[in-house]
Amino acid sequence: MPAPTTTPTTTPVTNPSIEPWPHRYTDPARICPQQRREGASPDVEP
Amino acid sequence: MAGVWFGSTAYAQEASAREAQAQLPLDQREVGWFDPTRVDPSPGRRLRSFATMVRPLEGNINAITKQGSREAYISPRRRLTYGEALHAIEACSRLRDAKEEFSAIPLRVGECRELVRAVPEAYQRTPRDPDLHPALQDLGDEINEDIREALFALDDPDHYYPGVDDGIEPVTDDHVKLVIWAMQRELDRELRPAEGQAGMLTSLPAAPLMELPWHIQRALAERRRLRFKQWGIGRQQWEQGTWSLWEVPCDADYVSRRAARLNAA
Repeated sequence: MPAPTTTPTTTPVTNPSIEPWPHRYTDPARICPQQRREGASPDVEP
Repeated sequence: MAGVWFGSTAYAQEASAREAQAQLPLDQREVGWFDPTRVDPSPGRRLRSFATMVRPLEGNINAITKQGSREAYISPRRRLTYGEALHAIEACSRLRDAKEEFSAIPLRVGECRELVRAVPEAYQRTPRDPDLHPALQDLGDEINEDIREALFALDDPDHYYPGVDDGIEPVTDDHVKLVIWAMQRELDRELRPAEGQAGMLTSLPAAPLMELPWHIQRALAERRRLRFKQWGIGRQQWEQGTWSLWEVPCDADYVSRRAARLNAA
């Protein structure tokens, strides 16, 4: 009787050197509306 | 029991009306049905800003008032569209007071102790920095779209990202550094999980703007100056702390880039 086999599992790994930026950093367009308005920094001259 | 049935029917009718109205462009949409928290690609630079600031008066659905006010600007016999309401305030001499109110709107909301003219040497992180007036949400979104587009240069040094040659005052190197510092200050504040993931345990770090090539940082600061100008805001308005709806171009074809992008996705 053959021994039961186990399917090897691979854990997904994020490689910062090859992942595109939206997978490495917070997307500025996805933050909340108020924070997007703060991002305009109206206390700094246009 | 009848009350429950009536209540649920009324709720369903309102939800149906809301959806029907949300499909209409703002110039044809009745006042009260613009929800700035939803992705809404309806066009009109000035109209979108105006729509954020007005609502029907409580107790008289036809009357129009400013957010936070209990006094009606206009009390027509039927419900007006945003386009009609804006046109009335623009053109009607009897609404001169209302028009005046829209000519000096606060630029900044929240605590603003002082204007920042140089990168602080010892910056103390605060719970909240001033943000733009909510009626300038599109301006904030455009600047965030510019930041987003600039970030592709982190992966591709040849990323095409033009600055602004004409139509704005030249931006000094020191101002580029100040703008990048200020943008980073806000990016550092709020982190989000990657697309398709949930939970703050998976939060991604803030994008490092100072790692962008210098010409991209410069282009980003130039675009920011242009964006403010596109909403009628320059140094004078910034110093005064107010802006005017009437200096925002009508720009009837303008569509928020963020709304257009998310609506197409």
